[in-house]
Amino acid sequence: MENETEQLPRQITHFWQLTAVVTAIIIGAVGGGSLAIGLSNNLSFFTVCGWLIIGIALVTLIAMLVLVPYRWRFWTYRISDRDVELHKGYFFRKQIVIPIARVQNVQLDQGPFLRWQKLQEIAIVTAATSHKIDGVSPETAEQLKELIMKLAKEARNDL
Amino acid sequence: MTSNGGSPKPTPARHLHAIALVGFFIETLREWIVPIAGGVIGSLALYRKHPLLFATVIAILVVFALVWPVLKYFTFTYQLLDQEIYVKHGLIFRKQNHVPYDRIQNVAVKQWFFLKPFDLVTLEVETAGHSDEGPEVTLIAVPLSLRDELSSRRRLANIAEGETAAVSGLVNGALPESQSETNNTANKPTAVYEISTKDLLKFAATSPAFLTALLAIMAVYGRLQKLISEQLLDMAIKDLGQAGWVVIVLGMLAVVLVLYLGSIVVIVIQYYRFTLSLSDGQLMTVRGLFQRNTVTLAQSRIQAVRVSQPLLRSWLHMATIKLIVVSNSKKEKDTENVVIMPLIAEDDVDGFLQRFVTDISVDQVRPSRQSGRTLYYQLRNFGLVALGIVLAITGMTFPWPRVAVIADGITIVLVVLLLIIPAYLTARRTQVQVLNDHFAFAQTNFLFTREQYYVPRQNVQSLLVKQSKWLQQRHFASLTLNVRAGSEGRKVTVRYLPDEAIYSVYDWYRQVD
Repeated sequence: MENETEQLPRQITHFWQLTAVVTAIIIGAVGGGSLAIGLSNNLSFFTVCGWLIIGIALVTLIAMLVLVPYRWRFWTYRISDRDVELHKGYFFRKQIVIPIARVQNVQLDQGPFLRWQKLQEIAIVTAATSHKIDGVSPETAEQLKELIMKLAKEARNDL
Repeated sequence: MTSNGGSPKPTPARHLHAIALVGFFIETLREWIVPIAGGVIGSLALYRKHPLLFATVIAILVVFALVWPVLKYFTFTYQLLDQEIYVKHGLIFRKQNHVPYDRIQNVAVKQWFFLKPFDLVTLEVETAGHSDEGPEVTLIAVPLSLRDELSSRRRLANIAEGETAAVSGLVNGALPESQSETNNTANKPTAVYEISTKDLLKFAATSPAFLTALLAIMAVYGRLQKLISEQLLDMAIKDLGQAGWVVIVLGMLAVVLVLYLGSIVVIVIQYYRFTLSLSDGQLMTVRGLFQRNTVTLAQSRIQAVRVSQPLLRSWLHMATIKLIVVSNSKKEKDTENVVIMPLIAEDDVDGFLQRFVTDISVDQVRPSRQSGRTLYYQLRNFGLVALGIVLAITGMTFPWPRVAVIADGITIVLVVLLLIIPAYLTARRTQVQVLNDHFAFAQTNFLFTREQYYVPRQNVQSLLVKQSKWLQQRHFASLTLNVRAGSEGRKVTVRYLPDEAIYSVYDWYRQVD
């Protein structure tokens, strides 16, 4: 039984970087559209908004990229036979405890970016909440799912 | 009744009582009111030139409105099978609904006063499933005896399934299942409470419900005000002069008064002869003047107990007790919070919970020391928001004409009323503590309402602790307990408390069973 505090695999940083770029591109596209309308029709309002939104996109991109190592360093999880613990952040620290006995189901998701990095997202669902582990290797995901579901069954039988 | 002996035989597929036709008729009208009205208005243009065509359209609409409910009625059948309720309905889209007895969360019974002589009721069966369409099964106009039949079948099914199957994971060990589940429903209730007229009136008069209506009206007014130009308003005020102000203020007071009296009447109608009884581990509330509304739920389905106290009631040292339960209806907000005690003196809450709910040991709640820092953090957060709003609004109305000064004044008063005072109350009221192995107590504040939660450990689905580096240095933290309420999760959050208290709950939550 793994009782160690685990870190997400290194590849997740690539996924986060890519997410940052895509987010920035989407925001930037909106800004660019606004800018194009403003410049071609000589509407200063749209022009100003366009530059502003492009600026926001750049700031978002830089902030998200800079924060990736921080996010990775302080995003950890621990699975024991009683509960799942998630830890996030250093300056704004979040600790989440999900007792295995409360787990209703475990959901595995994989979008195109995650597939590219050969990672899988795990959502641990309780009757009230859903908690995500952003990405782990498919083998780990499968193991975790099996473990949580097995433990959840055992824990429930005890009730 | 088939409650003793082997498993009961399935009932034949039955239709609803013929009175259900009226119900279906009303439902049809409600569903089709827009297309029908559109059809009528659209064909009005035809009236002059082609009166015959117009008559045909109207005739078709009338026939449709009459025939559709009849078709609905004749295609709707229900059946109590061995393990489930089976409902079949629909003409074009045939729907078959199977609801296993052991998945039923609660059964609501509604009875309009004019159906009382016929002993007919509407049954609403709810499960824990996620569904946007209200109750899983709604049976309009069925004999009252069906409820008992259903409950006896449910009991049998639950015994067979060993009760744990009810809602796996939501089963609650701390609130003991009644031992006498196998007994007849005819058992005398072990505890009964009926609201007195005086309490009912007090409850209605201290309800803040009219404020919600007032806010809604103000929002609509705000929209309208945009249509009226400011100069026009300014001129009107000048024209009316001093008398104008009196008229406006009196008018506003009159609106508030009418809303207030209206809300009293509505609440009295809703909670008329409110009765709560406990028998066989089942809590039952009955209320309502024109429509008697019965909700039955098993004690074991209670997720948490909530004691709330709006401002007026806290001055009177009165509170309202609600139960947080699982339901699947998103439409009716009140199904996730079943009121089991509209109005009770603060001192009696303890005894009441012992009698009707479980051993919560309210008396173990220790008065907590409030910290000045909590107040500082709350005032800082709310204060910044308030400052932002005030600056934005006063800035927007810059050269400050007379109307704008009044508007700004109102904004500032509202900001203080809705942000600063609640921030103070929140800081003063927020606390959390462990009562015993099974229960935690949390107190929060929303606007002016104090909310107390008694949460069994088994029903906390997950827990979140938030602590920033700076809060950690000061030994402060925030905590969220996630519980299931209605069809989704509810967060019980206490912010900026000494982390000693927070981590005592954290440790309590993680302890070995």
